[in-house]
Amino acid sequence: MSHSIELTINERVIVAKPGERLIDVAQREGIYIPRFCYHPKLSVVASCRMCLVDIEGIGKTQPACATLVSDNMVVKTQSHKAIDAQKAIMQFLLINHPLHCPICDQGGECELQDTAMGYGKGVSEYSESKRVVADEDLGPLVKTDMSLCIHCTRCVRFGKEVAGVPELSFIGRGDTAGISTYLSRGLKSELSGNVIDLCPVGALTSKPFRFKGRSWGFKQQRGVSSHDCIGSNLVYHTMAKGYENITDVMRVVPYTNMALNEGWLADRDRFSYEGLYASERLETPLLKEGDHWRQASFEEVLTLIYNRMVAVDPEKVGVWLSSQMTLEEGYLAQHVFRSSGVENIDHRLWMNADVPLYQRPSSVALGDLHSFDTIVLIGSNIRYEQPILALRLKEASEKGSDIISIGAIAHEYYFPYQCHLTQPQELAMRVFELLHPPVSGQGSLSGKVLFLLGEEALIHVDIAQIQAMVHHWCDQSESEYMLLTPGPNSLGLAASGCTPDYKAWGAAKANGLSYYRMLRNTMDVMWLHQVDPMQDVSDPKRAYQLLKSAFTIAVSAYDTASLRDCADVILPLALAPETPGSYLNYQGLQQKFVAASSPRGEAKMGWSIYHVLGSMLSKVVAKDYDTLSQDVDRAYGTMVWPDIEQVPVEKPKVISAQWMRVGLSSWVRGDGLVRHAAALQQAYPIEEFVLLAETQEASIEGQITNLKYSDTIAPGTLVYERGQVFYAETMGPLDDGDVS
Amino acid sequence: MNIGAVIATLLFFLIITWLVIGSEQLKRYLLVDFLKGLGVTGRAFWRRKITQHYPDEGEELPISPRFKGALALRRYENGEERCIACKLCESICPALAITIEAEERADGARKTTRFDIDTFKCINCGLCEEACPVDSIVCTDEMHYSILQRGDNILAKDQLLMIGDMYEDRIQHNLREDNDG
Repeated sequence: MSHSIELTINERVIVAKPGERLIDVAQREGIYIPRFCYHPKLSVVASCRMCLVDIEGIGKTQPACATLVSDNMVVKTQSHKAIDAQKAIMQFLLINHPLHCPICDQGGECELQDTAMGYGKGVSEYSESKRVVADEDLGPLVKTDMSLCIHCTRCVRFGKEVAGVPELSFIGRGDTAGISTYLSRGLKSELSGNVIDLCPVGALTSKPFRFKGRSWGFKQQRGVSSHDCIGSNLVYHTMAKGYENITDVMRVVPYTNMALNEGWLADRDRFSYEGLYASERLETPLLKEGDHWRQASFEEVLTLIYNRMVAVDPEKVGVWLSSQMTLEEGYLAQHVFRSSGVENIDHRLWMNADVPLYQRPSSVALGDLHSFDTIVLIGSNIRYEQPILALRLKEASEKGSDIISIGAIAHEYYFPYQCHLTQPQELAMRVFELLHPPVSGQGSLSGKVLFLLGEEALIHVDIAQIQAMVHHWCDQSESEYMLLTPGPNSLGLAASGCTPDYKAWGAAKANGLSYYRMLRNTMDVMWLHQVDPMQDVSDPKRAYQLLKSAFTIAVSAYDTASLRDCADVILPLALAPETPGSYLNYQGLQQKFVAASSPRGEAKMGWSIYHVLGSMLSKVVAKDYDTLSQDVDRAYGTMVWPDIEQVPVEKPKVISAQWMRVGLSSWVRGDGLVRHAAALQQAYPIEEFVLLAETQEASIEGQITNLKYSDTIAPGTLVYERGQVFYAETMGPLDDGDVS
Repeated sequence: MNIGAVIATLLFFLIITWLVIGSEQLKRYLLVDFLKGLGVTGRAFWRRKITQHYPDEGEELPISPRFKGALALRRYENGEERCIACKLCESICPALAITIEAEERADGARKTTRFDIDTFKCINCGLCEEACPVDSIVCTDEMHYSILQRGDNILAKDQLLMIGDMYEDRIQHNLREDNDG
């Protein structure tokens, strides 16, 4: 395969590898061949016929997408024959395509519009009536205009080949042919938004964005996904609103980073921007007076905070930070608190155990997943926790990796996998048995193995044991493991010192109380950064008790009922697209971004709140954001991660607890931004289950999400959704009888 | 001395002067151009006047059907506003005088939620009218308007539609006249 061949395109001699597609070779050489159905990430169907080219020696024009290059091939893309074919096809496609461009959302970024301008005839000879197709409701995220469809079937192939969920299909023939879900059930896939980008015409467009703007009217600003630890690259399209110099995010589109998201984007990243403009957004500081809340000025509130902070014993101050914080904010926050003597800082609010810092960057690149013989998912609902990583798992599975899942729920995945259904009480033991099979050789893992520790493992009481076992096992082989931490920047916060165990950049050990221990202590002052005590912590009940007894200062972008219950002061915060910063993804790759839009009202960027607080407390803080950012870059660039504390590996025991949680919240309720994104919440509503179990406290109606009727659940498992009234249990697989 | 001698003498001096200083100078001495100009004034003085003393008199000014006056938004005959928020006028406006925000109306139609024209910025070039695919934004022939206060310069959508309603007959008349002529 290493030899190369020569071919001629438009009288230019071009070197290519055998097996390459003509359309790709031409594109690489800067010769554009018009196309609709061809997409480099999808299979070739050659159905649109737009890429017809003239190949010497072949009588008829050939589709460039379905033609492989061969030696001494002579191709003309601009010969009389080729141009004739292009014009004829263009005219043919436009027969049924309505000329709605001024009211079509795709207008201005439409491949059909562009191609018609460049390769069309300019006049139509068709005067008969056009085809009209009824629209189908595909749910709150994707809007259809099916009369515009040119039947390229990109969306169909995406569902089948990439997302693994064949939701759309091509039904009917001739004049009645069309794209449909057939059962009119709408799109349910966590990647459904990608069909919007794939559709070359305006048949599939974004519903939340519908009619709101034009592709040419936006400023483009690169950003990083703020919901998962992969760090998908994206582009914010922003537009100035009104005359007050306010810039709003109008939509989010993916940015192709072949090492990370390959141009795909999960719905959570694509549509969460709506949360920025939710009515619950907090715009002014709030102050509690007696039982009433009133608006206050920053000056007043900060003075109050200052007076509290100087008066209180630093050991009685606790700081909970959200893993949505940027690296810069996290560093500055812990710097201000640490230099005031406060050591009780934690961001791992998902923990159900008191474990020293265990997060480390992984050296596994997403593109290398197929090099592992076996991939073991330990307690992970990977499809929803890390949708982009799940795509790569599917790819690896297709290339021959075996996938094994251990956990309490057998999730519905779109790749074949072997499931070890486990009671959560036994998770650690089952992992131990998998790594050290009782009968040697039987069922043991062989070759290169990749372990992915998901949410169920991370929130597990025995996480320290599970990680130690996996770490130890990986040490002795060329296997690797990866921690799939919630939030976009938990690794960054671990690096910048927002943990009770290590100071910034792992420089020295620290000795603060972890989140787990703070819950079991009393505190005088609690500081929350973008933490909703009902939704964002693993133990809302204890958190409520603690926060209510302490003087609680909350920095939050949203004004929620649970914050009003617990906090005494709320400061408005600017969220990720409104603030500059950087995130570390699971590999420790620092991805920087700048502020794309303006903060709502008086909301302040996190770094500036800590900057002012630091100045008030007379601490040394960087003089402005640029200095801070440079300091952080320098420090992170030279950072050496401390070694993981060795925990002796022993055979774990079954936990006697009656109730065990197996997950945090559903993928569209994991942080404040997505919780307030209207269309997303509508698309993935809370599915209500009345469950039969009774907890020690009371009988409770639980609500479970991300759980399908087809999912099998280990008996005795406790399924839990954060924020939506607590414990629930299923005694055996869910069947219709459990559903109210 | 008889008259013949006097005329002969004068002619002699004139010929001598013409020979010495040339005809142009001579014309100047004789006020020829001055008398010519005075003659034009005299003729115009008695002719019928065509200047109109605007605005003191002459309400009906002759105006081209293509005159680019105040901007307006038009409606269809059934009262539906024509504008479909395609934003072509906004993007072609060389003075960036147009601001449009849009979203889906309850019945699914594409309509603007804000359509502002800053009359201070507008240079009445008429490119928006050219760009509009539905003949919604038009230049009326109205030139009798002024902005007295800062802030009033921004014409909002309802004001523009109101202007359109008021001038609909004249807009149609001008369009007809332009097409016929």
